[in-house]
Amino acid sequence: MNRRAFLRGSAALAPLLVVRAGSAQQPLPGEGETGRLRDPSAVQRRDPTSELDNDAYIQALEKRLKCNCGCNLDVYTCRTTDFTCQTSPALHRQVMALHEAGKTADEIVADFVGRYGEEALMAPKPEGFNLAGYLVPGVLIVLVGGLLAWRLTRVSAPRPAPAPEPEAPGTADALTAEERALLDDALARVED
Amino acid sequence: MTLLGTFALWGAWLVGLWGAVVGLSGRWQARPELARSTVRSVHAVLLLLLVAAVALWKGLVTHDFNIEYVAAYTSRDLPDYYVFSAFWAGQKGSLLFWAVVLSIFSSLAQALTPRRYASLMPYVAGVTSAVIVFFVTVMVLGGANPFERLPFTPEDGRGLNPQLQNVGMVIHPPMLYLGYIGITIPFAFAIAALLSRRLDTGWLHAIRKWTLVSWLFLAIGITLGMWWAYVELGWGGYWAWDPVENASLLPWLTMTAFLHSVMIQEKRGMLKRWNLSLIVGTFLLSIFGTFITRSGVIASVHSFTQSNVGYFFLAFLLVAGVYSFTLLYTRWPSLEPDAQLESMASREAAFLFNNLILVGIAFSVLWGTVFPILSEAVRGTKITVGPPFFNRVNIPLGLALLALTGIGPLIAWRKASVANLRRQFTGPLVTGALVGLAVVALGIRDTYVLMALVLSGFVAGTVVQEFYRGARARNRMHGEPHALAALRLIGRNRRRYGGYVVHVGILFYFVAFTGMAFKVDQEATLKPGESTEVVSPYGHTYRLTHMGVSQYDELNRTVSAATVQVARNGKALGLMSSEKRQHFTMRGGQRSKSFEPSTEVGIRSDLREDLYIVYAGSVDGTEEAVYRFTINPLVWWVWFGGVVLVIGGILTMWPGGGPLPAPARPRDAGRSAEAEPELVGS
Repeated sequence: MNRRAFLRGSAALAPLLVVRAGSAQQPLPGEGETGRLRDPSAVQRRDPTSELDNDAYIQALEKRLKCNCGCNLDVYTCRTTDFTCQTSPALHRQVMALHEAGKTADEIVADFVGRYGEEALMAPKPEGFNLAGYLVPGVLIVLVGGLLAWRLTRVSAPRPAPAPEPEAPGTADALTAEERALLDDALARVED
Repeated sequence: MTLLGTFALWGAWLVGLWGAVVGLSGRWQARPELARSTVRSVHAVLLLLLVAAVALWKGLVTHDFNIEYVAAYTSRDLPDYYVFSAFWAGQKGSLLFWAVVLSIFSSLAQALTPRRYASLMPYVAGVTSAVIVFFVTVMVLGGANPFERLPFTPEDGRGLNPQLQNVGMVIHPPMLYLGYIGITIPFAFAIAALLSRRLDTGWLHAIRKWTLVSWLFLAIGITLGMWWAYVELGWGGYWAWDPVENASLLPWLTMTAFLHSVMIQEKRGMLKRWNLSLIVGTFLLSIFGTFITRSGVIASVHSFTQSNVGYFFLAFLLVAGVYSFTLLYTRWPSLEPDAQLESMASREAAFLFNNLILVGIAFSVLWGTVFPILSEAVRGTKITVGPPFFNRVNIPLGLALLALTGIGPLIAWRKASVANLRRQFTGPLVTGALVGLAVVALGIRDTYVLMALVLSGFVAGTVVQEFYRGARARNRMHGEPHALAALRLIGRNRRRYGGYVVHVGILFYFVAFTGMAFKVDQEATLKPGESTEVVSPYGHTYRLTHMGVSQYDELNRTVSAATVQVARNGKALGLMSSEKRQHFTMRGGQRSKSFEPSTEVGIRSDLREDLYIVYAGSVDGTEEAVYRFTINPLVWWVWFGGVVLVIGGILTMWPGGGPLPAPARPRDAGRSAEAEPELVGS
């Protein structure tokens, strides 16, 4: 346990001892019946989680779908992060209902697109104009890289004069690390 | 004080305008007193903006809620350090902060730049003054005056957004701003070089430290932003490819490309046009980032400050872009390279491909960020471009970049022979292969993860080999112990070996990123005393027992702390807690809730994995708590990588021990600025 967790834990538990001394109705955490919170409105109200909530299949599916509350997050991340959002739990219930109705992941995704439009997807389908989104950067890089390689090959084509021996190309920068270090050191001593 | 602040802003605007007009027009060349006046106007603007800054800080500290900005971002019970940082928490304050810091940088650039660049400095003053005037214009004419008063004085302020009440947000925005703002100085020197036609490498030497400083601050700002998102936003990750995150990454990528390509210009007199384009592009991307953050034109979880000022930035972006590239175009013939690439197997070629990939990643990030707008314009259909898109496009590019990180240092300048390549590559390739075998033996089959770890091994092999060979040489020459020899090696060539340390930092980032492929998420609803188990990717079983929820009041909030007892493989590790914080302000002597309850996560971090606990809420107002437990492998290495990168960056820019001067060559681009005749500007 790190220091931060320890301090937080201590800070969290310390007031409980005071509460216990002053009020016999409030059970100590971890004991007896589940107690009511002093101020329930200071905490978001949540429904109990189910087995399906932890299903990797459902999680992966919800990560493909965008919450439309304006948060810019996927349904899974929003409902497990932004606890003020009412939209993502509702979308989660829709996913569960469709799943329990026997729909496959792709069918559920298609259902969401049908209801909320293409914006319901966290990444656009790689088709039509969207292909430009996926392909343009890669195509440009390949094109420019190819052009660069072609030009480099041309300019570095055999020349009339033979290339110098690679081991002694004539500049300090062509040396190996070992040779460079020796040279640096020797020059530094000269400068000293 | 607000009147003083407003007057100071107007004063800065007028003086800055003078400096910008005179500096950029070049009229000072015939009149030395105008040149001096231009430079002095920079210092005068700084003084005036400092007066404005002090006025705003005084308003914040004294809780002058008649000032709209103070009332909007602070409250009486806000802790002092957040009152202090509220200066940059909102739109108006951050614009003033930006102008002040830019003004400080401008004055420092004027004061610290060696005299041999004196003929560039009035132009530099002109450019920086123009940028400052733009920011002040947005404040005084764009409806973003931080000294605007309310028609009444509220009893208390609204307080600071709880998500901004985090130590990361005290440090992260200034770091990021320092990075963004620092870019203006290299940009100003680039424009000055173009205007004065002094297109040798003199201006590059003058900006070397400034490029490193802004690059480093951007890196620190981005990493702190990741840390803030991780500990504060509660979604269990640190990078979501959000437009605002992307906006900070873009100039960092192009600046990184520049830091590599500038070496080619310094050593070979090549890529002059490219380097100027990179500096101009980096500056424009920093303005673009601000436009994204401020305008709300693209939805973002980070857009805490949105208004119409974004369109001022768009206009400025267009004007600055057209002006800069037109200027570059007019100087195009003067920017002929002094040498040609001699071989594909050369460091120059490796750096060129490194630049291609870095700029390619920047383009793909920019493309993905603006693609929703483009799609809506073309098809009339709104789409979302989220992490799945960016990961698909950028992971392969990132891997290519990682490979080039290892390849670049191994190849000689100008031309490498087969024997040279064999000697240099054998060690790193063997290291990468061994790492690959180990990873496969561990049962990891994810292609990208496998490639990332193999390439990380390769890069590590490169760096270790470079250090080892250099240290061994010193050891042989002086009999120094290897550790001491390695330290002295760095001292002798800080730029080179500091750069390698930066590469190690980048390597740690990549290793950490692979961990996210194995993230485990699990939700649980637990009554006090109940437990659940979570199995980590390493096979450990965490037993998590809910201890209960306690509620208590702190300075400006009611805290609900859910505590969990943690055991791993049967061994108790202690208690962790996650909190809900309901902030309030006092109105009419009554506590009034100011924001929705926010979440504070509990994190237990070690070298292998983080246990990340989020208290989601309670069932029917009881202690029955809903949790999200996340196990994030290797997250610690992100922060450690950031520290290593910063150390490398500091080493690189540390004064003294610089590189040896480049050997003189015919038509060498490395001619010093003072050797150039005085030229008439445009």
